[in-house]
Amino acid sequence: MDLLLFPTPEWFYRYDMVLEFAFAIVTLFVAYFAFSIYRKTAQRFVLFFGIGFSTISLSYFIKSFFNVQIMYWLEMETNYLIAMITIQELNSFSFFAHIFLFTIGLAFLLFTTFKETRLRLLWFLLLVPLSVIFASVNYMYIFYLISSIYLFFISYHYISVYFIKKNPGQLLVALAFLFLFLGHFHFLIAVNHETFYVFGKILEFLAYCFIVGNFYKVYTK
Amino acid sequence: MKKRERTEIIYDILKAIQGKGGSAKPTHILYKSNLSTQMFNDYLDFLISKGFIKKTQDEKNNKFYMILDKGYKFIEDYHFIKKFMDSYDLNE
Repeated sequence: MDLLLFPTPEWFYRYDMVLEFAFAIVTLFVAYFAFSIYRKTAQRFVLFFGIGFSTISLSYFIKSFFNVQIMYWLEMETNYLIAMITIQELNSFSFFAHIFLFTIGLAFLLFTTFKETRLRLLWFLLLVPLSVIFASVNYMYIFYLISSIYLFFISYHYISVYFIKKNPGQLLVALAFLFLFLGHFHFLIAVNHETFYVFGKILEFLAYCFIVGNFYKVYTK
Repeated sequence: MKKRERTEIIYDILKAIQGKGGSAKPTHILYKSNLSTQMFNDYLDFLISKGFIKKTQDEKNNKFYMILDKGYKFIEDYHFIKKFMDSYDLNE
């Protein structure tokens, strides 16, 4: 299999499309509320947080959109060779767009956890991983490695904050990032990538359930 | 003493004005908000720029700050904002 391709099993495209779309909606909601709070309070961390979630949301929207296209080519195209070439092109583009935006989103989220006002750190967190990913031969592996490192530090931050402040909302957020971390990290040690891709998506689904749970908790008085 | 967050200070200022029937003198707001004069002025400028409050004067030229609809909306949404920011640890 081409290293540029996500190892999505063919039978899973339909579910993948729905899940990515659901993740895009959830992250978009979080970004929307962060931006609306930023408009009222002008707090920079909230702005960076909103940018982080909106780029992650866009990364899911793009992947979901291209999964629809791939589904179309899988079901409609009668010429196998044309279908495979088109699917590979779509998959490659969707993969690049996804890793580019997802990495940017994680860099912004990690930056907010540092409580640092100097933008030099943000540039470092953005440029170093993107350079490493796009300069490497195995894009997919390096992407999962870097996103795992970023998610590990984000999870660690929220777990530490929870143990200090004991806020149940922070526990849900900590669990969400922990599951996202596991969803990315397990990929690095996976042997059968197709099966583990599905398993990773289930972990990601659980992570976003925690985000929704926290959102429900925040919104209800 | 616990350091107040920016959101909390905005809320305290708006509540101080609301507590006086929607319009309060700067000295009253300053007392209630417990800020330095410089910070107090910065916050008032910010709240005016956001349309949360407006500056008015009575017939004796006494200055007042009046809370506007957006300011009331902020007070209403404050607990949601605080819970959201606390859960994601976004306070400055």
